[in-house]
Amino acid sequence: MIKKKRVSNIILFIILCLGAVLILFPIAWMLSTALKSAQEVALYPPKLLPEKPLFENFAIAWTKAPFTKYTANTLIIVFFTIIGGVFSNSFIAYGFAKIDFKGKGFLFSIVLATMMIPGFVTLVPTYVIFSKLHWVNTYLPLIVPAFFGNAFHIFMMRQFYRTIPNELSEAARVDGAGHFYIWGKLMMPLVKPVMATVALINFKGAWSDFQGPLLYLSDKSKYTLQLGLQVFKGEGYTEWNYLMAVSFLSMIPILLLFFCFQNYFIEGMNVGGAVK
Amino acid sequence: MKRKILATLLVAAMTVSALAGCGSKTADSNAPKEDSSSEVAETPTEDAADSEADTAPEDNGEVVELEFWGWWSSEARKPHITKMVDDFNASQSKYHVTYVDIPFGDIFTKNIAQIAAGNPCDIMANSLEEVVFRAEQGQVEPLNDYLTDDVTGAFYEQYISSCTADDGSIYALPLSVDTRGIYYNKAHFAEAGINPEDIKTWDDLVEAARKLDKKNGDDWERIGFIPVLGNGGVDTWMVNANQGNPAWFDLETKEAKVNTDVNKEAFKWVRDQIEYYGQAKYDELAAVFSSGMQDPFASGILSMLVHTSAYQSSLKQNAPDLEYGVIPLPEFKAGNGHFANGGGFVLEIPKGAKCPEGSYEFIKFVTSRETQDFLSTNIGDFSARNDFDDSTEFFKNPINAELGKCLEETCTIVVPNELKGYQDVVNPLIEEGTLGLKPTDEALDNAQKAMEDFIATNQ
Repeated sequence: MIKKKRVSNIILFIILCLGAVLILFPIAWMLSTALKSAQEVALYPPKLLPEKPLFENFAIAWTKAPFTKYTANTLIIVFFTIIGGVFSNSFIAYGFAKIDFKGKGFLFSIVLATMMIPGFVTLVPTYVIFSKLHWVNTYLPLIVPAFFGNAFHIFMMRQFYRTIPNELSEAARVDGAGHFYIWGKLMMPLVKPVMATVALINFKGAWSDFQGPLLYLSDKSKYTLQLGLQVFKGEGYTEWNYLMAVSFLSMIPILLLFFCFQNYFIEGMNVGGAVK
Repeated sequence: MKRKILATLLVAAMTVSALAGCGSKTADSNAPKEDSSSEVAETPTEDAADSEADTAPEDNGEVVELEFWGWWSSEARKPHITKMVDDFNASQSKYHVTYVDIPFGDIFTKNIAQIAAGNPCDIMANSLEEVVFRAEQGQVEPLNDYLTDDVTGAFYEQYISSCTADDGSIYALPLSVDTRGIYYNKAHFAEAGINPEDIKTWDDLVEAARKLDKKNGDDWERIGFIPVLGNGGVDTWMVNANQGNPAWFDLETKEAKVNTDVNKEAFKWVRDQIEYYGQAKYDELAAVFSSGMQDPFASGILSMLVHTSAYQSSLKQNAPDLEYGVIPLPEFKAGNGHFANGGGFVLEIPKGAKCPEGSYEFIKFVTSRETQDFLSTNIGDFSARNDFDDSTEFFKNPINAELGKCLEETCTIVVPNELKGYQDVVNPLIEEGTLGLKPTDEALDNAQKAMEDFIATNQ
């Protein structure tokens, strides 16, 4: 029996290893391209390993545009997007999960229905609104929407809230606590995993957002990392090695965050068994 | 608790104000621009010009700030574009142009959004083939009020024609044009004993390709030529076979003509070349070219490749030591003509731009002979000007000289607005023939039917 289990574990391990290789291969390719010369990149048939790794490509690529400034700009947007996303979604989801009011189901359906609208449909009207507000070429169009909730995140957090027994909030109500107090003091500590998940998703979204900054920012000094990467793409030629070098560097924060918070992240996604 | 909430709200409000302040300079400068441009967008051009005249900053001795959008951000191009803009700024004192580079493809989305919002940029680089469409959609300002005969007469007629809408107005001026030729590896040609000048017809091309081919067992070590790799699609060869006319429709009657005898013969020839090397080899190489990273021509795996004039910049980086030349696309049949399809880019004034006079002054400067010479020499693009001759520095480069010859038989296919979008219906069916999923004749018959249905539905 033990032997049978060991064999199945080995098979599982091999399958997982193969899956990992499959997933990690594009990243390895990215790193390998970053270390090649332009001629090596264009070589066909391609070689996985560079003949002589050019580590200086990272430094050269980083100085081809003010990427330090772009990183700082991106971090400003990311910071406020996370704050807005975590608190607004948590607050709205609390309302849908724990407060009974007339039309709640209908309102929630409308919130969910917004997920069905393709982003491209609302792109121009949204731009017109922000333009009339004179917010174009500022970070506001990229940050402020995060403070008004996101349908998917609201749904995810609501499901998490629903796993918390109502008796907790009802007891607090009996003791005279208001909804703000219950949300801030009682619920927030219990929904940390899903908040971390939302924070991570928001981080990833804002960090790798290309279209938003492209639409709303014109001033180069306000550009983000993703916009900055375009400096390597010419009309007839792309500097793949430099593009991959900076792309690789820009991917590191997302990887680090995921590795640091993966337990929270996985727990947050597992809305069914959230509360022990 | 209430105090805490109030404090939080105040902090949030202050943060929002601070962030708005980050862009205050430009946002403020946008504010009057938006208001005025909204009006311009809603009123006829003459009124707009009048209202501009009333309040034009240049009348007050102020310099008008103009934004010029393009997508040239690479080190190879941007410094020259910036110098050109600086030269314009130094040449006069009324206007000051700032160049803003936005990634290709995405620039068009941003342009449309800004036009809809009523605060577009002042000068926009855009595609030559779509000028008429954008004019019909009300996305561009006409240039007729500013144009003079000496300006329009300085361009090849076909390109000015591509900038002229059905209402007879000219909506843009050509910035650069491109063409297609066959790049060949000189060392391979010398080894195979081929004189590039002997390749006159499609048959000659196939004959040369067979001499260039090298096989190692079952695999191809070197491939002479596959017509639909690089930047040449089925369209390229069909336009060539149709003597520079649209292959799938009649420009005059706007009727479908997909399954003509010429198209059937030409399409079968394209498919035969793919089949000769095998579908798997074609798929492999097509995938490589799609990725845009590896280059089998630069690596010496392909001996000939159809590409545009812009390919030179790629070869300069990827294979600086490669010796290559260019020949025009051969004739379908002797005497048919070496026609190629080509496109280009224009400069135009987006609808609602705040100062069309200033924008036009910049366009006129950029499309002048002197500036075009500067751009061609430094960037490598071809000019649409007819006074741009062999005496220029640009044409002293033998590759440019060869491509210049190709340009003489290059046609820009402008799809009539009535047929706009037909490619979505026809191309997938043509692709079935290219990939060998259907016999080429059947693919063309199906595409003919689809095109007829499309025209009937859209009439």
